[in-house]
Amino acid sequence: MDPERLTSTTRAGPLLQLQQASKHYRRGGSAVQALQDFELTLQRGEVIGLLGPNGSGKTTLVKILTGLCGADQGELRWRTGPAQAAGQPGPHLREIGVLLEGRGAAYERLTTLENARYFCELREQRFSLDRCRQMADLLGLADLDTPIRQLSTGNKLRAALIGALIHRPALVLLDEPTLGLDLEGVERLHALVHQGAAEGQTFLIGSHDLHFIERLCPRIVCIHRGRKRFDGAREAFVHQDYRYRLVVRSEQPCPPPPEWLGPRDWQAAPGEAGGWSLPLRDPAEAARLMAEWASWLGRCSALQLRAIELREHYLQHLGLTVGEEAEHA
Amino acid sequence: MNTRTPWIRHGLNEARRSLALARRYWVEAVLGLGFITSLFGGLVFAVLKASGQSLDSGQADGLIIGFALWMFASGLTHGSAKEIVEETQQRTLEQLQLAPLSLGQLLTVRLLLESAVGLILLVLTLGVITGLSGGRVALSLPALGLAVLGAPAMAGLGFALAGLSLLVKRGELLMVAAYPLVIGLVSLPALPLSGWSALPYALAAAAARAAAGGQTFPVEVWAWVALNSAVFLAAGLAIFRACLRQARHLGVLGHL
Repeated sequence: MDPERLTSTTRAGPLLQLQQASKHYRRGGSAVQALQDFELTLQRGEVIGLLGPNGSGKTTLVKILTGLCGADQGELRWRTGPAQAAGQPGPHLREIGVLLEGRGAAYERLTTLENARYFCELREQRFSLDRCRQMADLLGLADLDTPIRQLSTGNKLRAALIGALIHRPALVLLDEPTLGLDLEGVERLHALVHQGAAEGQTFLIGSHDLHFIERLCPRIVCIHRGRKRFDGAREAFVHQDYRYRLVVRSEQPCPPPPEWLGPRDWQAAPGEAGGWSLPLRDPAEAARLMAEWASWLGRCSALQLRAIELREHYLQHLGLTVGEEAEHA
Repeated sequence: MNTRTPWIRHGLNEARRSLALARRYWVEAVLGLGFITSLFGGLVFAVLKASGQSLDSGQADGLIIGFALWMFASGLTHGSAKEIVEETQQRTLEQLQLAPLSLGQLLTVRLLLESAVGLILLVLTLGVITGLSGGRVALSLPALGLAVLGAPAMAGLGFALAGLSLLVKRGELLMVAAYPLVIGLVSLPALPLSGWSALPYALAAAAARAAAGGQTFPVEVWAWVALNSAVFLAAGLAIFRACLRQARHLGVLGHL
């Protein structure tokens, strides 16, 4: 977007407001509710992580925001403009950059540079070779003059990212942007998002890579079965009463937890058939308990003390167990 | 400050993209053209051989002009649908949706560029035919004019095909099915005016063939060709818009 336009039109108020958006599809004769009464407000410069299992409605949400899929109901407001039916094309789309379902969208027979120039002009923005090279440097893509079909999978994605962001969109929607990227690529994408956000771009990033989301996104939106389950600060999302889990497998019955642990009890260990787990707050608590139970723990057939993963916490937000998550996948 | 209108800007952008592709894959393009021409040459030779005629007899002139017209019309018919199929396969259709220009407008820009190239090829082909036929078939302006005046009808057919390609998984099958349809439309005996003349491009092609042979027509023929073009272009665009709306409603835009 033109810096001038940015200055004159966008300082105050939310960048985008989606209200009461619903969408259903018909699959095999039955209705599938992909999105239901979904509300989302995006502020300028925010980086939002969009989490949800497969089929939860993430891609439908992105498609509605980009006008690729019409909503059954709901309104979308861009900046201070009038409300319009959600999922319909409009002039705001030129200010959006999108990468869908982790796939690089680019003309394979053209070079990265030719693609970038084409997509920039397509959005009626003046192409800047300097910006293109700067983005390529940031993403670690050295060769801009080779047809994309000859690039590796990761580099194809980098080239597509350049094509999607070259016109300085105000809102960037990245759906599974880390698919096919190596560790260095993920780090560079991280840097690109940080730089974009510092320049005022808003990022909505859907991914199954929880650690990528946790590191990058100060705000997290969780979606499951088309409904929003969580929308708030990362700190609130990752806040855990218990950070560790003691997992045992024993032929003898587990001893009752000591009184100083409070009202806690053994639970079937998630993903561990026949195992039992006890949540623990911190290393001090774990060390004290293990010292008390040293004799019994020594007779267990299996023993683990592990940190509770973000994934488990995320499943808890969605009200899912590990098994249910696998079913969704 | 940039003073170019969006249409010119998009026209230049599309031309730059097409040129980059043509420059990098010119061998493929030339081989493709050579293949179609050879195929047609073989067909003409077979027809002449079977009927015991020679090229000088003029019996195959209509067939040869029909080939040139078919090439032009086929490009118009398949242009938009080919774009939709290729953009879908390359996963770029969604990106095009984010352009300020609507998908229909963008396809129009591309089709105009392709039509310009198609027209140059038509003129060259007719020039070669004039040479081969020893002047029996003339590179006449009325013939070219009728071919161009009728072109929007085929563009309309192309837009309808492009719209349907948005909704079906195998759009290329629609394109294959359209090849014999275009051959039929170009070769129909739509002159003098009859029921055949109401079909898209049929009258324009028949009149252009006759004009190349030196025949002249009343002004009504030109008027009917123009009307035919306007009606089928409008119908094609309406079908395209309806299909695009339906694809957006179903959420299948850009689905492979």
